[in-house]
Amino acid sequence: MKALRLKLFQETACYKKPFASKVAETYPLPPYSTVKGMIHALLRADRFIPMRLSVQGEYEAKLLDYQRHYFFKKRDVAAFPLILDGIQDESFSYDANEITTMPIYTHLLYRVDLLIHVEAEKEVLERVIHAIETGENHYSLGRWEDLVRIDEYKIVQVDELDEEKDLRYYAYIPHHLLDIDIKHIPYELPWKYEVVNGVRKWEKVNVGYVRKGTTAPEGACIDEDGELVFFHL
Amino acid sequence: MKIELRMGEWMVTMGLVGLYRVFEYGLRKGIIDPQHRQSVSIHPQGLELETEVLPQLPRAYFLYLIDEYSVAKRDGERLRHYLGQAKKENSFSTALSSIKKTITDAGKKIQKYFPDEPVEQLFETLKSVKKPEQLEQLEQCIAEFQQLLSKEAINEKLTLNYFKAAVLKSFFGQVSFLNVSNNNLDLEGHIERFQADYIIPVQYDLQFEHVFRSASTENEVLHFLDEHAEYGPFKALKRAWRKKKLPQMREEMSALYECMLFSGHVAFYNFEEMIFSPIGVSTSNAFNFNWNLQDKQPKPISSLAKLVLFFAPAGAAIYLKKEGFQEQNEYRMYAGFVQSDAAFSEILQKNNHLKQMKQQKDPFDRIVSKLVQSVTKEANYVVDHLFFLEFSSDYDSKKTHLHYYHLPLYLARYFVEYPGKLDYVHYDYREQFIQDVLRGVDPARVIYQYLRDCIENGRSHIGPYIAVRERSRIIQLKRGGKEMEKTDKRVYALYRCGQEIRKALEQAGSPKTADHYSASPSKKIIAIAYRLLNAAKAGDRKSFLDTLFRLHMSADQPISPLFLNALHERDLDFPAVANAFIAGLLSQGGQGEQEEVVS
Repeated sequence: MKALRLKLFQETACYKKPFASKVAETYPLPPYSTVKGMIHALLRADRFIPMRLSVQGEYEAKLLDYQRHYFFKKRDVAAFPLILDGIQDESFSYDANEITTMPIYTHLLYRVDLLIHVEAEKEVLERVIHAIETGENHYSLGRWEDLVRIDEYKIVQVDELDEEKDLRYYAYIPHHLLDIDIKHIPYELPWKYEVVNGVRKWEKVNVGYVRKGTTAPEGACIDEDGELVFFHL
Repeated sequence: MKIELRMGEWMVTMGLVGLYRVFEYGLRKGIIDPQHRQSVSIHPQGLELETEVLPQLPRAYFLYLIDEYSVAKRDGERLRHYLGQAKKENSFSTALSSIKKTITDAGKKIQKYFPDEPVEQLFETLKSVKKPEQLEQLEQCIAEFQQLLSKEAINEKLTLNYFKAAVLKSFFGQVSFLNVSNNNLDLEGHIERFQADYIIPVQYDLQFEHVFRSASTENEVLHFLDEHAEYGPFKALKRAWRKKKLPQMREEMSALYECMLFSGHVAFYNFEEMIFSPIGVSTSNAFNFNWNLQDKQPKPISSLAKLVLFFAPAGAAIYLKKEGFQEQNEYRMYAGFVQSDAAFSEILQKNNHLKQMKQQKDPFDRIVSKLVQSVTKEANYVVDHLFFLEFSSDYDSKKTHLHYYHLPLYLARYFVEYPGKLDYVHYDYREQFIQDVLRGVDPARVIYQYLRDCIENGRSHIGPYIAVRERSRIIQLKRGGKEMEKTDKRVYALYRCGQEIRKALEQAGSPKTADHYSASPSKKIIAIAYRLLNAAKAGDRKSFLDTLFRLHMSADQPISPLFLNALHERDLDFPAVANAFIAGLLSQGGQGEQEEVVS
């Protein structure tokens, strides 16, 4: 099968966990929903486009950032706080009954390298490539401010792995591929949602976060350049 | 009914550990009926809970916490400690004032809630104690006070107040019995509130799920809802389903929220600040934290998840931690937890271990060291995925400090190969050092602080040298851990250089002339150490070497080629070179033997 391989780099990133509001904790690698979100944003999609993903990567360190956050106390507020750093002599005021601020700790991953494989219809992959080549905005993965540098995009041939091979990166490996000997940290990663009663109801994927150097399990795939692939579906 | 509670996010795992501890305690103390012995069982993925035991948990919860944080025990220990000090004549007065303070503080609280107790009389006797000769009288006073404090009702009330304010407040908002309006409740009142606010909703919700699954007609469902019409969520459902048929109900059921923490359960509650304040935010005051500015139940959770989270304080190890150095420090209450990629039984065991060590006030490095040693027998992998989590949270100021301490393989190796090496480092700096290391931060900044402290207070101590050496070892291990001995030797040689220079300066002494004032050698050494330390902190190699050359010239000593590392950093980095030398410069002789002991 063919897949689009993306090699990405982020100076810092926070893939926020759903419950961590007062302190933004991060997943060690972007969950599938985040990657799916980036690709959908590239395609300017207004509905779900079927695809399969494989997410691998590593980061150098974790650090803490202390950020001022704005809290909206009402649904409709007159003012909207834009970031005005760097805009001289601009003053920004807001009604304290509508908006308040609080500093919040954010956990950040530092120097993140990512290897992502996307399998979808050929036409979809071509549109992604077109969007990358002609994009006018910056690309981000995770939060809007988590800029991403696209170091490589390439359509590769992916086949089943038939020899023994060790993981070059940390990886999310879906549960059905993991055997009992493979040590991993279990995660329930969000994938896609439907809106129920105005709230997103997520379809989750059970995966194991597996460290690099581990021998890849049976059933894994490999691309034409020898990179391992673990599709989540 | 049996339900499965799976581990997941750390707060859920923490809650499950707490639930199990409380259950175990309840069984041991006979609070939980022995017939429920099998009601909570450990599974690799978490716990299995027999819901019949639920009504017995609140009493066990409170008695567990009362036992854990007993004011009688705590104040008793403190008073015994002060009494020990009071027995030494020179520390009598300080000990006496501490004793008086402890007794007066607690005594006033007793007076408030138990006006009939003879506290005033005790105060009078205590007031009359002034001199060391009255030690016997003082002992008598303390004994009487302890007896008073140990009365069940008094201990219960004061301890309840304490853990509500000091412990539970960092986990929850003003929910249930934590609301200020419930401050006058006694133990039974607390238990009742817990039952009503946490246990009954779980029972109702689970029954509802069961009834709904097994119902063959809509009347069965409506009848059930009718029976429990006083329960808020059911009231709303009843109103909505009054005229609906079962298939319609089923359709609408699937549109009800599902619990985000324990999937498969219906969610009538929301994950927000008051339910778990360390990471939750208020729903009504932080719309933009929710997807699509949702305001009702943006993060739906079940009553079951709410209950499990309520057990989290019993699952964590609670301790006071000093943050900052010297005068700029602050004590904060922290909750600690060990999370690891392992079966639930192992996580439970590790956390029991952590709690026990924290109670013995073991320093952090020793705790890590001990925990790691029990782990390394297994595959190295496990070590890599052991991590400590601690947080300090304050509901009032809405602020949380949450730290993750991951244990990479090289650090695990360090703790296994060099256990107890940091013992000679001053407690405050050791804690900071180890936390920096666990966070992946270079602990050099701690060493700078430590050296500065030594200079300012004229302390001569082997500690800074040990800290420099251990830092080098850690860096070496990070790089692959070859030539450890050589590095050790280099650090030691630099330290010795510092000592030699100090000796030479001291021997040269100050010229004794009547006309000129000349500073004593020790003052000169302090001034030089300051200059060197400032250069080191600023990373100013040139200034450091400049001072170093002058120093060697004035002492008429040859310069070791090891100092070249300050420039090329081939064998040691600049902070290591500088700090090892300064540590030597500050250390006074007679420590050679000590060094052998700690190497």
